[in-house]
Amino acid sequence: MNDRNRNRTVPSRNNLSDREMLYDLFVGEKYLSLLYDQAIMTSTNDRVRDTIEALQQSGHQLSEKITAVLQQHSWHPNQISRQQFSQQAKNPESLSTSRETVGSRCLASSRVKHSSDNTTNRRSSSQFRRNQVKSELSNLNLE
Amino acid sequence: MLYDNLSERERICLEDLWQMESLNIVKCDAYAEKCGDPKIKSTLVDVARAKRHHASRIRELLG
Repeated sequence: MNDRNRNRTVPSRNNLSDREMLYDLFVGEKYLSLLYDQAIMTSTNDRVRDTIEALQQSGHQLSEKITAVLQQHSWHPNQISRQQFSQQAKNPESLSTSRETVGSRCLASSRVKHSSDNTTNRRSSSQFRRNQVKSELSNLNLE
Repeated sequence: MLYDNLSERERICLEDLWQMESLNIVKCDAYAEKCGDPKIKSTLVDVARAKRHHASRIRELLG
């Protein structure tokens, strides 16, 4: 990075509320857990598998922490009332922007990944996911 | 700790994991900075710290 770029300040486009930020991380953790599952099932090396399993366990604990905060504030998706749910179903535009975040998009790409079975397709879906990560980073103006 | 005998599939899975953990670290840091509630901020800082550990372990596996 040259000096000109380093000194340039880019205004953040992150206008998410606390609730949306936490929900985004919550969805991201769910997706990470799927990736850990996939890595565990793929691994043929016991030591690698054990390490990944330990990291997944730790990830679940982090997810519990985030869930606890969401529940404290009654922000957890399971705590949305039936009335709110039916309102959202009638008016999909009212859904929070966090539902359009990396987790849901990555889950869609995960389905693409599962439907492909050869290495070439795995490579391309992996590349697709990496592009999504880059896009998320650029949305946060942190890349 | 290096695992030279990782298959291509294993390597792809680990790289994906590393990418996602890294993204979440960046998000946690950004969100912690933006967050108004000190309790939530503290949770996000803890999560970011744990995720840094995860990412470094995965990096070690990749060699």
